Amino acid sequence: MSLNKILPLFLILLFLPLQSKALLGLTKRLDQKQKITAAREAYAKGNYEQAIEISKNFLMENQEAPKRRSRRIYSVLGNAYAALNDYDHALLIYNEALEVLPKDIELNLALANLYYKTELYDKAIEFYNKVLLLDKDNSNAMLGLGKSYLQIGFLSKSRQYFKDYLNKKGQKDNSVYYDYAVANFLSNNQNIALEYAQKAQEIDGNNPNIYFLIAKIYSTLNETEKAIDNIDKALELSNNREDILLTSLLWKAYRKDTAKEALKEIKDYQKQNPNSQLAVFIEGVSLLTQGQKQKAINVFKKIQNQNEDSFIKEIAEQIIKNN
Amino acid sequence: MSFRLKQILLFSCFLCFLGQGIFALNTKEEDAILRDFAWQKFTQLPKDERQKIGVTLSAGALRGASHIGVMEVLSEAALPIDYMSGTSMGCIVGALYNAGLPLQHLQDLVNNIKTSFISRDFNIGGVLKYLFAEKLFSSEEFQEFIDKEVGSKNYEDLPIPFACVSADIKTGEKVVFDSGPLSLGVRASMNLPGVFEPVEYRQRLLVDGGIVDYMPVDLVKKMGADFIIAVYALPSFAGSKPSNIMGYVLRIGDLRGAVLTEDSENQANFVILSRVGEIGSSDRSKTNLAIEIGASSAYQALPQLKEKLIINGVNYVFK
Repeated sequence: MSLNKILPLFLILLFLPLQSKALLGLTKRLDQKQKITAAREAYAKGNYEQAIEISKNFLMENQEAPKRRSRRIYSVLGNAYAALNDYDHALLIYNEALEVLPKDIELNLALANLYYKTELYDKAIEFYNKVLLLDKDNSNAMLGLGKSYLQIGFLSKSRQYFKDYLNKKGQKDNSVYYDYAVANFLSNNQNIALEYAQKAQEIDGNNPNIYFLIAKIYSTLNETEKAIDNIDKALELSNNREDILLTSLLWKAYRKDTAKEALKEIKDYQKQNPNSQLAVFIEGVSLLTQGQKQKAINVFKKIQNQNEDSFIKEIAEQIIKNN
Repeated sequence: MSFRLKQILLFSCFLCFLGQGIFALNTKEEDAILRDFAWQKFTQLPKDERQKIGVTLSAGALRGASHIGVMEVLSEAALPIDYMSGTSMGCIVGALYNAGLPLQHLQDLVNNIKTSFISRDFNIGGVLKYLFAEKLFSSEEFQEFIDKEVGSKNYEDLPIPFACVSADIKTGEKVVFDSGPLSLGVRASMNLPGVFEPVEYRQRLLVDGGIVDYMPVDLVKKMGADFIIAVYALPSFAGSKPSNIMGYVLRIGDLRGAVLTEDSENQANFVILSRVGEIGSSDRSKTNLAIEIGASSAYQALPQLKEKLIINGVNYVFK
């Protein structure tokens, strides 16, 4: 056999192990990609248990998988647990993922969002801040910080991050306008609160929460007529939601020109809600405003005789004591 | 009545019952509605138609940065404050807040605090003198720093009457500053014994007030407060060992403070506890966290504080 014939055969035999290794690697990569696609599809279709199963198997079988693929599968797994409201497992997965990929923005953000959802606001703040360290322009982290600081009551920071978010996004966002308005309302910046609540209203004119907030802002600004107009609209849109209704009746009971009307309305309300302490209290306030002190005291005594302890009861008792 | 009609009536009753259960507000929700309403009325009352409110801020070294967060929450809730007092870090925050420094600026100051703002001796030469010549560090720079920030104000210039505490190391007496240069009293109040030279003032040698009155509730009471809110930057000992000499000195102050505050807490009408125990007294890297914890502690306590104040002033709100 001539050398020309032997050499190719020799070369094939020489590189065969390498080729088979490469081939095996290619097969493995294809298999990994298929599993990731399968997990993603299962998640997208709402088959969360199946997505979890595939993802867990993937992680068991591919512990040395490249970071890019691990990130994808950790995301699917964490999101699937979160979708099933299994937050403990979801938190565990994201934390585990961040041990492997500590600088991954998407995973840090997912974990921060999950901490926010589970009301662990200090942890949410920690991870949103990590996201901002990795990507200082990340608007989702700014929004998350605005909302988290609003929850813990650190309002100056909340306002700042909402503002940063709005500047960054530069687009109209109804719910962020609303949250920013709430942060300003709670900080007593009523003019800014009103401006942003009205911006939210321009986008969503049928949201009772926005009208209710505007009503409260006007009430704080002592613009009673506008407050009443907005709370009436909130009542109409919410189909007489209880908290809005009772707030409205309390306002009316406190005003001389509407106290009588409030008394009638609150008595009707009590027929449907005989256990409402606040309704009885509003009846008393309405009588006080109308100058019928003794009748009012008798009404407050009804609350005093109730078993359930509450702030309303303490106030009623104090009024009785002082009179 | 036909069977079907009875069935319909029964079903309607069931639906009504169900509706009540689902849509009726619970007591907490009803309380919140009344609280929000009454608080708005309370904050709009003229000064002479409500009780006088005093706020006192405890000592606590850098843990006391939490007071900034607390003051932000109280201020944004529109709480009217008639008198203020403070010791050490509580005195610093109280004085700067009262002098009109924006809270954001206060946060920046505390987060970026440098040792050179406090003493010119925080360098190798100063440390050598401290160790070998037993010469304490000077805190004169801190007085200059306060003057620079507030513009050489006197206590009498402050919008809210304010007092702070220091101690005379010669006699053990409590020395109260409520008039004269603001910066002098603030420096004396935070002048840590064993670290800083005592401040010489009118035959007295003044050191940190935390050793005699850690949370000066009595001062706002004497000024005329009917309702006192005490803010305590809570230390946590939890078996931990201080990591340096400064840590030991501050720990002694905290231990003494824990004993002193028991009485002060009893005298106050309301106590806001900032749970900053995990933060070291001299840990400059965690001042921002301390501020956040202060804000969140105050925010959590706020509904209860509002309720107490409203109950106290119910006659003014519901006439």
